[in-house]
Amino acid sequence: MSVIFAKRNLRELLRDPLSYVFCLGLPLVMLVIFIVISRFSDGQWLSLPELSTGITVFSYSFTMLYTTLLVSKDRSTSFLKRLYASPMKGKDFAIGYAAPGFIIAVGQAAICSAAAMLLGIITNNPLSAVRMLACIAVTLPAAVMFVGFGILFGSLFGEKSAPGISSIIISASGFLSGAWMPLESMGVYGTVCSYLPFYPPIKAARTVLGGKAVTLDSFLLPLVISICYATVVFALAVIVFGRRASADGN
Amino acid sequence: MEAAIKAVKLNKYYGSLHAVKDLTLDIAQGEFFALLGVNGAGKTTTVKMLTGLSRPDSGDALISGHSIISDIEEAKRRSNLSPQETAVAPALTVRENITFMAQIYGQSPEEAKANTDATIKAFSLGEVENRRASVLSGGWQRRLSIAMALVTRPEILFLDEPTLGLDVIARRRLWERISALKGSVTVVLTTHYLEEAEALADRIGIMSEGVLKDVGTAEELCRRAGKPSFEEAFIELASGEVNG
Repeated sequence: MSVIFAKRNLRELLRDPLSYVFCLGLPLVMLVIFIVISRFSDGQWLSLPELSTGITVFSYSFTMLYTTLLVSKDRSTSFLKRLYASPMKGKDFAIGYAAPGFIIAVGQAAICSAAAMLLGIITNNPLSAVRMLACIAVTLPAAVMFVGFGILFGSLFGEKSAPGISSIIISASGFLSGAWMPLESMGVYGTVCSYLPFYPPIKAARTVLGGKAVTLDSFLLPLVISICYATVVFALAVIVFGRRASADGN
Repeated sequence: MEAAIKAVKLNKYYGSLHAVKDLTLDIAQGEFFALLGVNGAGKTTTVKMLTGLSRPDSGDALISGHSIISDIEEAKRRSNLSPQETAVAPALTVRENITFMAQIYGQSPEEAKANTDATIKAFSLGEVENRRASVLSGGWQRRLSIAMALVTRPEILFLDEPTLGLDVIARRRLWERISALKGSVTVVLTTHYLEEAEALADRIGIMSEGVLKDVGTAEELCRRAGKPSFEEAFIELASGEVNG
């Protein structure tokens, strides 16, 4: 049942033309624009590997937006009531809503990475395919966290307010993740961001893709923080969805 | 013969509101039963309890012999619900919606396809089968919604206000589809349209303020209320004392 429900949800997401604009088009445009800015900044801006990891993780926030829209829309109609009355169990709903977002996030990461590799060849700064794959793997907890946020906000808020809340998180993710800003050189601000949910996955991925030395501070701690946030947010999403499901059924 | 539905002293509270009060009811297999009442009478709450959407505060009901308290999973497998309002996946086509429901109830891909074909034919959905549900009119969406419930081959079908908000022509067309189900499946229909209950149901239960006031055929209810028309009988029963 989880797979059947996930297939339905993936179709709902992929049949919305705007999802391609936000989930794929916008990240690619951002990557190109920031690479161009980087070329004209005489090394003061982030490098291609740093930008590609940042934009990849930032693109996951749009997956959150679409997961939020899907869950909140389903809750606003009687469609979910009919499924609550079916033999589906809590895990079927959790997997069914999470899997499509996760699949799309992996697709985004693959396309962003491919684009970054192409840009690397064009700008004479080739990127290692093996490191790129490892980098995608390191960012996957962030994908789980953003999908979790999507289910959480879709469960907590209605069809009209949920996208607004997601937009706030997207903006926060942009400012606090260092996706296109050198947070390392921003003092206390950068240090605080190191413990918030958005920067650690990027920091760990940059260590991998940039071939830097793997240390506690550069890789292990950010990865652990990222996994912890993903676990907590997703668990919270499942619990809140379950409670809202009971309330909606009543 | 075992009753399709056997409810005993079902109660449901929402805070201080006693939404359903000691509801006891037997519905026979293959029977077309209508729950009739004004808004807020407790019809939808009753259906929510019988379909496992809402747990009763006390009492129990057997759905094809399976308790909604201790064996709700099996009870859910034996029944299906066509809820009020839109209950379709908007981006899926009509065919995909029907197949989706069949597979959610555990049908194999082959079985789901065969049952989808049969359901599309039975509900004359062929001309719109490849259209997305979101572009269908209200009448077509309701027809699709009921088809989605029936493709799972339920023993009991709950139709919660299936014609609410439809224009008179769409309502009549849906009546034809619903009345064709008589005898093949046990149907519990909730409605506040008197003529709908009178035209479709074998027996009618009248609910008011959470109480099942009376149950019988339209003629029996008229006779017991001492009124010549069903409308007058309904007004008498819904606003009067419990007859038993």
